[in-house]
Amino acid sequence: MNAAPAGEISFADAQRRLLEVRALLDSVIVGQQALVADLVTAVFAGGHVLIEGLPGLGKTHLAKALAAALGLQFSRVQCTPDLMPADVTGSEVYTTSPGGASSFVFRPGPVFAQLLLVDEINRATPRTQAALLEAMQEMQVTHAGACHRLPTPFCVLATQNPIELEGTYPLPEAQLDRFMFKLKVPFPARDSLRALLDVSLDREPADTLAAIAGPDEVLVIAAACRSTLLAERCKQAAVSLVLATQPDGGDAASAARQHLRYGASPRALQSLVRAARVRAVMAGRSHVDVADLEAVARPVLRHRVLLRLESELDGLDPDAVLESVLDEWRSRT
Amino acid sequence: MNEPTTDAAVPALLAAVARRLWRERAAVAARAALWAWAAIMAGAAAIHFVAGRPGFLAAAALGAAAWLAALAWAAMQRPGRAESALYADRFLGGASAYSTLLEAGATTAARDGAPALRWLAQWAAAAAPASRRALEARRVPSGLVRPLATAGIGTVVAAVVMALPAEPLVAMDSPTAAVDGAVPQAEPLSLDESLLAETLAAELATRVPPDDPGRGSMDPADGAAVAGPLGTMGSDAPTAVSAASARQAVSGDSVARGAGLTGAGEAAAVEIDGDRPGQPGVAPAPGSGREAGASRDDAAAGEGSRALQGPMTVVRRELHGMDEADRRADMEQSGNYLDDAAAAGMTPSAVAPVAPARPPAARREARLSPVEAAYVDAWRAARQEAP
Repeated sequence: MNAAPAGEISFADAQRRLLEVRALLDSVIVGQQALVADLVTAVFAGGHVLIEGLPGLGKTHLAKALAAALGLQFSRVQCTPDLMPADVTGSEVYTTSPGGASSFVFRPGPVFAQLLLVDEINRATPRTQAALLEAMQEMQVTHAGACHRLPTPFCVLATQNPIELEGTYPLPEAQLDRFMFKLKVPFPARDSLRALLDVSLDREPADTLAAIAGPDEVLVIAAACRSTLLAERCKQAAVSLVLATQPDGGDAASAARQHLRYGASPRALQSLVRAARVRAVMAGRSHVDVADLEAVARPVLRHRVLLRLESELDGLDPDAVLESVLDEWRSRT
Repeated sequence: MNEPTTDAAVPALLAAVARRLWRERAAVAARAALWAWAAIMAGAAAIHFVAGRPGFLAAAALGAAAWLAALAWAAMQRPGRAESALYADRFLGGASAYSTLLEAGATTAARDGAPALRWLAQWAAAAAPASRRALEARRVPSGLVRPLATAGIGTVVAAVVMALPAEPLVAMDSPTAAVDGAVPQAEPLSLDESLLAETLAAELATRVPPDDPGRGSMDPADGAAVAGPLGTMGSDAPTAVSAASARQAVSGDSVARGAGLTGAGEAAAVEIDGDRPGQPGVAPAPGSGREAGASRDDAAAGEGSRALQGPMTVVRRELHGMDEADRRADMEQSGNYLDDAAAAGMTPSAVAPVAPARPPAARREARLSPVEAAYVDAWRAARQEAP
C-alpha cells in the first residue's frame, strides 16, 4: 500500500466503511466475527495473514469473500511439493510478435494480484515459499534482472493445515515474521452451524457477493488509519509488550522467561501499532488506545514467539503463554 | 460521535481530576501523619512510664512536626495536567484520548489542525461529561478511620500515663542491689582461723630459703605446685597467703598448704597485713618473677597475676546448696572441678555432692609430709645450685 490515496476520507466515513465490510463478511462467513474483524484489520493495515485451521472451516471461502467485498483482484495458488517459484512469480516465455520479431516476454504469475490466496502454503517447498518473501516484503518481483511492481493494495492470505503434517515444509521463522497476523479459525458454534445451512447450502455466497468498496477506497481508508494519533503512553505500552516477550530481557514477563525461547521481533512492534490504528478507526477514534494494542496482540505475536522445547512437550500453546504475558503487561501499563 | 458540548469540558475534567488526585494524596499524608502521631504517643507514654519524662507537650510537639512534614509532602504532590489526563484515560473511560490530546496540542487549536486532531478534540469533548460522571461515581475510601482511632487511643493513653506522678521504675531495687543480696556476704575470718593462717604461713616460710623472697613457684615438670609464701619471706617477715595460691596448689596432683584456708566448701582469701617497707600489705603475685616458669609463656602469664594486689575479702560460697549446673557456671570454680572429677574417675553426677574445688580442710596439725618436705628440700637445693 505504497500508493498515495486518491483522496481524503473522514474518520467517520472510514469507520462506517470498515464496519460495512465487516458486516458483509459476517453475513457470508457465519459465526466467525472475530476472525473477520482481524482479517479486515490486517488488510487495511497493509499486512499479510496466515490462516490456520482444519479443513472445511471456510478459509478459502473467507478469502474469496473478502476479495469480492473489497473489489480486489483475486488470485489463488494451490501449493504442492512440485510447485516451482516461477509458478508463483511468473516466467519468461518466448513469443513471436505479429511482425515476426521474437523475444522473451515476462508472463506474470499469480502473485500479481491484489489479494493472493496461497492455499496450504506449508505443502510448497522452501524454495517456493522463499519466492514469496520478496513479494510480501518489497511488494515487487525480480525476474531476470527486471523488477516488477505488484499492484496495490497487495495482500497475501496463506492458509495451512495444522494436521496432516507429513510431506509438508513448515514455514521458517523468517517467513513467518512476514505475516502480520496469524489467525486461527475456530470451529463454529452450534448456532453458527445451523445458520450456515441457511446461507451456503445450495450456493456459494462469496461468488455472488457484490463489492462495496474498491481498491482506491481501500487505499484511502488505509491512509486514514495511518494518520491516527499515537500518544506516548501507547508507544511505551507497545514497546513494553514486545519487550515482555523477550525471555532474556530485563522487562520480560515471567511466563516469557519460563516458556519462551525467542520473543517477538521489532517488525512485530510495527505490525502491532499499524494494526492497532485500524482497530482505533473501527472503534470510531482517531487516536490509538492501549486497548487497541491488546486487541491485536495475540494475532500479531502468536507466530513470532518460539516456545521452549520443554514447554512444547508439556502441551503448552503460544496463546496460553501470551495470555500470561498480556496479564502481566496489562498490570504494568 | 456527538458534537462537543463545550470547549472547556476537557480542561474542567482535568482540573477536577487534579483536585481529586490531590485530595487522595492529602489523605495518604494524613494517614501517615496519624500513624506517626499514634506511634509517637505510644512511645512517649512508654518512655514516660519508665523514665518519668518526656511530658505530654513534648510528645505533642513531635507529633505536630510529623503532621507538618506530611502536609508539606502532600502540598508538593500537586498533580499536573499530564498526570490527570493519564488518570482519566485509565480509570474514567478516556481511552488515551486526554493524554493524546495534551500531547498533540491545545484543545482549541486542535480544531484547526489535522483531521485526526479535530476528530480527537471532538471525541474528547464528547467523552468528557461521561468521564466527569465516572469521576464523581468513583469513590476511593480515605482509610482514615483506623489511623484516626489509633491516634485517639494513643493520645488518651499518653495523656493518662503522663498525668501519673513521675516515679520512674528505676526507684526500685537496682539490679546491683539485687545481685548483692543474692551473693553471700564476705565474712571475716574468725580469730582461730587467722591464727591458723599465721601458723601455716610461718611454717611454709621456714621451708623456703630467705634468698628467694616473695616468690611462689611452680614446677612445670611434674605439675606439682608449691604455694610459696607471699610477700617478703623470712623469719620475721609478714606473710600473705592468697586463696588463689591455695587453689593453684590443690589443682591436679599438687599438694597445698595454704594459710587461712577455710573449712569444707569454702574458698577463702586471706589477707595478712605485711610490714614490708614501702609496700605494706602488697605481695608479689605467686608464680611471678624469673623463677615463675621455665618457658617464656609462663613468665609472661605470671606478670598478670592479680593475687594479693591489696586487701582482699573472704568470700564464702556455699557449694553444697548449688547444683551441678551452677557449679559449672561458677567462674571461680571453673579451673578445678573438672580436674577433680577426672582425677577421681567419676562422672559429674557422682561428683555432685562434693564441691570439686574444695580445698583440703585446714587443720591445726597439718604439716608437710615427709615426701612433701623432701620435695621442698630438693627444690631448694636445686635453686641454690642454679647460677
